[in-house]
Amino acid sequence: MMPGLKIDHEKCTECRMCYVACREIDINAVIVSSTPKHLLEIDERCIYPKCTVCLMYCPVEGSIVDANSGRSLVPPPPEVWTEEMRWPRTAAPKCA
Amino acid sequence: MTPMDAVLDAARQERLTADQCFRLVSRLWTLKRLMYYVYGGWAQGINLNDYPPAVAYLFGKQIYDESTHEMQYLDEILRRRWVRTQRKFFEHPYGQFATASRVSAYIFCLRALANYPQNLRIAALNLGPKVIELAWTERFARSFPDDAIRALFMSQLPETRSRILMGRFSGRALCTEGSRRAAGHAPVRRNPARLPVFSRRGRAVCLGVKRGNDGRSDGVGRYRLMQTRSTLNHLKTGTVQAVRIVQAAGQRSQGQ
Repeated sequence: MMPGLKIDHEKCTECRMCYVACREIDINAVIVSSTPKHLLEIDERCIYPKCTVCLMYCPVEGSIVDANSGRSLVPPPPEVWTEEMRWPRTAAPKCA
Repeated sequence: MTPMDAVLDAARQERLTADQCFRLVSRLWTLKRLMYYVYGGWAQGINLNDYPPAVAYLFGKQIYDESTHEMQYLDEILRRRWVRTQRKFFEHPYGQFATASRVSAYIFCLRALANYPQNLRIAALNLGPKVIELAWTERFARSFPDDAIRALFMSQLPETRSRILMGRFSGRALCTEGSRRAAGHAPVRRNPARLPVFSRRGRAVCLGVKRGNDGRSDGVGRYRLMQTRSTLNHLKTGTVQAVRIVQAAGQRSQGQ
């Protein structure tokens, strides 16, 4: 399965904040690639849009993009920055 | 035959079980992680863009690379679900840091030299284990049967090779810097009390003139020259010393 997010290596500074944040919440979708440059990548464990925590920690505008549309998600646009999509989630689960 | 050769032989003959593979990657993770823990603060306060680069800068860069390798190992462990979370891995027996082990013997033998004023000695002692590490990393990168782990080792080769070049470069940098200072082309930055060392008489000694203009022998300059030679000698013997330390630690652990 394709991850919903992708790192734009033209803009990413490899500060590793997304890696730390993702590891902290035990999703572990940001990995160090096995290439000589060790670029960061997002793998299929990413649960976006259910989680958007890396978007909040990323300091460089445009370095994390939507994998399908290529649209920049840093800083997170309002529609992906809702209480249900942040992590840890603060909104109470909706009743069916 | 080193222990790593035995592991590689077992892997080639497909005798390495998943658990043993997990253990191998875990122990390498502790090696990198411990290095990163002990020397993580090394790069604080360094000057960037110096030429030749300071030993502290090069060593700081090495620590950054050690951290990257550590992340790679843990990524692989988590990807294969050998453990579910980083926190659980810290509690796992394979992820434990043991103070009486080969890994800590290697890490802390560098630490023991941190009291020396020249951190070049650390770079020198670091060179030996890196030569050994490059040897087994190359073998693993060439012939480890698991594709993902082989790619992981392959990706670490440039950095490990770079650390060996760093050790050699440090030696050359010392020669260049020392002779520049001795010839009076570079200011002595660290300790103003050492300024007399690079006086005219000192320069004469360092540049190969045995007696100064005033006809007297220069004991101070000669002493500094001896110190420089001693440090270079340490750099050359660093490899031998480190190999002995690792071998001794290996024999001790085999005896236990």
